[in-house]
Amino acid sequence: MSAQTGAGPALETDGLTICYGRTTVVEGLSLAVPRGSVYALLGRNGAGKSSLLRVLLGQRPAAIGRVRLLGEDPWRRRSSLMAKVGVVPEEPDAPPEMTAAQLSAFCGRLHGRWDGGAVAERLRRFEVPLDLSFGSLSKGQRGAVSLALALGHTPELLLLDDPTLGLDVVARDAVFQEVIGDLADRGTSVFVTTHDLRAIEGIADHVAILHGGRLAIAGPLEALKTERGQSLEQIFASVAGTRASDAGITEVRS
Amino acid sequence: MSRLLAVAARELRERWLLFPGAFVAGSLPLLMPAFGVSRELIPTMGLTGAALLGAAAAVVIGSSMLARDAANGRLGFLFSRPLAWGTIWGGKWLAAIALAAASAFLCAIPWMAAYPLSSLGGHHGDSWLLMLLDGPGTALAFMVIVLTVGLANFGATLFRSRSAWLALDLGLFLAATWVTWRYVSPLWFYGILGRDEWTITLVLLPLAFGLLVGSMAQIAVGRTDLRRAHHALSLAFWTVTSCTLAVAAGYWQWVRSTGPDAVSGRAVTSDAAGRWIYVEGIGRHSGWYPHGFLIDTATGRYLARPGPVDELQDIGFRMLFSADGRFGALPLAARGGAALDLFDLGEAGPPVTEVALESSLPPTWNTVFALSPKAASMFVVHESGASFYELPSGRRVATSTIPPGWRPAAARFLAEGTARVWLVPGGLRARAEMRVVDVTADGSASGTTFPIATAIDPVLVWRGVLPDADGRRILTLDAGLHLRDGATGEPVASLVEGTGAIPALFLADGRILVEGRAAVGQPPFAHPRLWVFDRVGTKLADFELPLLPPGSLGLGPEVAPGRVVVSCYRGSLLLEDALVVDVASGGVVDKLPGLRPAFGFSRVSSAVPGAGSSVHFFMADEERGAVDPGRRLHRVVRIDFATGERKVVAGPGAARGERISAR
Repeated sequence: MSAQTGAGPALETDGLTICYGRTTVVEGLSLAVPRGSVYALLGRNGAGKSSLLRVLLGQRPAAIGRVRLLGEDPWRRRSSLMAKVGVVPEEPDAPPEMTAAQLSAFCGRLHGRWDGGAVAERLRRFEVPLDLSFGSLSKGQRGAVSLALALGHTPELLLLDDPTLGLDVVARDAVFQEVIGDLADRGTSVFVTTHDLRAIEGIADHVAILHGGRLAIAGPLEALKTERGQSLEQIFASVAGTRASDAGITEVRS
Repeated sequence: MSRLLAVAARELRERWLLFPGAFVAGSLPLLMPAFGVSRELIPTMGLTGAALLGAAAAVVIGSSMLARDAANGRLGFLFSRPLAWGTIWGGKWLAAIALAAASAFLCAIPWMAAYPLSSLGGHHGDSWLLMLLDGPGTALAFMVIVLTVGLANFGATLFRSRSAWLALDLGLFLAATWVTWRYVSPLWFYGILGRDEWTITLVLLPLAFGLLVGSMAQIAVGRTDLRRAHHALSLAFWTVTSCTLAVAAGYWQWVRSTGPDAVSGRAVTSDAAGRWIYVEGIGRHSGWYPHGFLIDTATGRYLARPGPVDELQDIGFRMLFSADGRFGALPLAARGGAALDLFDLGEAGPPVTEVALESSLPPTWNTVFALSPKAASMFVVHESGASFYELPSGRRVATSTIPPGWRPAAARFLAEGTARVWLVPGGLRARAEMRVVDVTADGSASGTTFPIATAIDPVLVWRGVLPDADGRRILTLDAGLHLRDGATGEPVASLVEGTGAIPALFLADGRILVEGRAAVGQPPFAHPRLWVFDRVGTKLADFELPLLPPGSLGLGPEVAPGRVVVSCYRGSLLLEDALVVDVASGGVVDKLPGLRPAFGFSRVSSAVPGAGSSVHFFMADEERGAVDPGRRLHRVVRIDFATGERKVVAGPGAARGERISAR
């Protein structure tokens, strides 16, 4: 199990608002991801999930509010935080001309702690050819490479942005099996944004639903299901249905 | 550092095909001899090709290193690693510069190896490498690479961000271009900044710095968000650029604020009474920018020559004064033609009127101006015509066409409404003839072509024809010095035989003073001699001057009736005292140590100070005999020979009076 430093939440936002110019995409978002948990943020396309991920990764500043990853401000401390955080983007963004092996070696030069053997082992499990350029891999293989690279430095927190979008059932199960089997046991905190409700229902401890840029509901998954007497899909449908006509918040594809 | 190198190495790996491509491109010139291209042209073709390839590589890399990666989402891969923004920025820039430089260098290797420098002759030494890697050239090449990469990145970011800020950038670009043209380019145009490779590199440095700082902001603030990156880049770049332009424009304004006390006088014209003078001079920090000052010597108040855009011409038209001393006229180019700034010296201020000369051509080096005695009209002669303009309206009232093949040499007003111009053959084919044209304000004109002994030397054309004050007689420099009738060109007398420039002066009473020359075949005189002639060329006197063997003798001005200043200039290390010579006796009546007569301007005809004018202007050498002539600062000294009063009116030592504005 990886060492968990600090006692606070792995990820925390407080009154977070994200804007693009005059357009507000997330407003007043407050949530906390307990350490060692698998936290799923659900929302329809354009709900603001990817924008939230960019802020969490320190690639954009928050317009208003506070953000903390492992207790630190990601905008100011992005570089040092990324040594402890793994990221799987919605669209795999590795240089297309490099092979998976080259990418692993490249990342090894950037991270102080890098387990190249584990990366190679995961890629073998995902059946990803090591000698083909990243750009020539299938979408599922590219996602698998991204996941393997995100885990190569044994992160304390893993952020996944809709990692199964566009994947077939087999590839999707492989990704979540990896998350479930490899990470949960080690105590790695996982924050995943998705609209793949069926897949996440089996692995998430906590869920939150983002709708129209606002947090519609959040809490332990089992408690929510018990409290409302509904499945996750039913909860999502009912929340999205009641909040869809919220005024003042603009939904944008981000 | 290892992370920075890792980022750079990845960038290089992505574009590694550039290296063999550059080598192959560099080999192409070697095939040229097979197509009949001269061997000597190969290095030129190779150098050009290497420079173009390096520039193209810089454009391609610059446009893709940040903007393309941000647009494609690939920048997020680096930003989700433990890499400081400075590491990402540095790695990408390092790779871009290395790629562009290496592409150019690899492109140069094949032909440099095949054609050793020594095999081509010339004076470049033996090593291409040493020649290409000389300090200033390398610094300049590096600067060009940085600029090209930076500009390509800026352009690509603007294009890809699709932000409305593009309009702001375009607006700021236009504003910066205007400011640069109006307030900064004179620093370059007048050589104030110098023009060597180091200076060019330093001039480009702020632009490169702005682009580097802009791309830093792009990465540090914009990160993976292209629009935000564009805004950060624009803000940073335009801030640096604005500050740089403000400093440069401020420096230019400081240069322009130089007063007459801080210039080295170069040329002077004055009104008949010697109260108003126009001084042109060079400031110590002004390059060759010609400061021009209209100075009231009575009060010290002065006007600086207006500008600055029109000042980007450096044609030697300076101020003309009317004979009555009431008006000063400064010719200039404006709105595609000629114009005048007409100063009313009789009024406080003095007020100035800009007069556009109707349907006039822009003045050139061959244009001659003359101002009528009462400033009621201006006579302008260029190669195709002589025109009368009414003042102050600028209306053209008369024109006489000049046939092709002539250029004006000198012009005079005969009376308020009548002017005369003497023309010499123009172009490369010199002819032993001249032409005189009289034009009147009522539109009538007459012209006469007359033969002369030999064609006037084109180099000496401005000294080849010397009219007297009222234009009735002329001296022509054709195989000696000949006195002719000003209206017809008929020879009156041959004064001196010889070649080259022969100094001469019309005295106020009509006598003529010339430097004597030994007859052809005779040894030159041991000391300069002055010959005095009457109005019709009869020799009256011949006397020797107590000066060293002949040099460049200067005659005039006539400071009192029959008393003339004679000076001799042989160089900065050998200056002789100017003498005041009594023409009747040949005796030296005074010496003017360290002073030389202030000379005026060619191609303008002002009223010549008439008989009885006792005020004249001289140049004084601040560091007489200085080894470095560039350090010599010429003061302009006003001397009233009637009272003996001396006053420095321009240059070091002059009292700086109030700067007044005429506009």
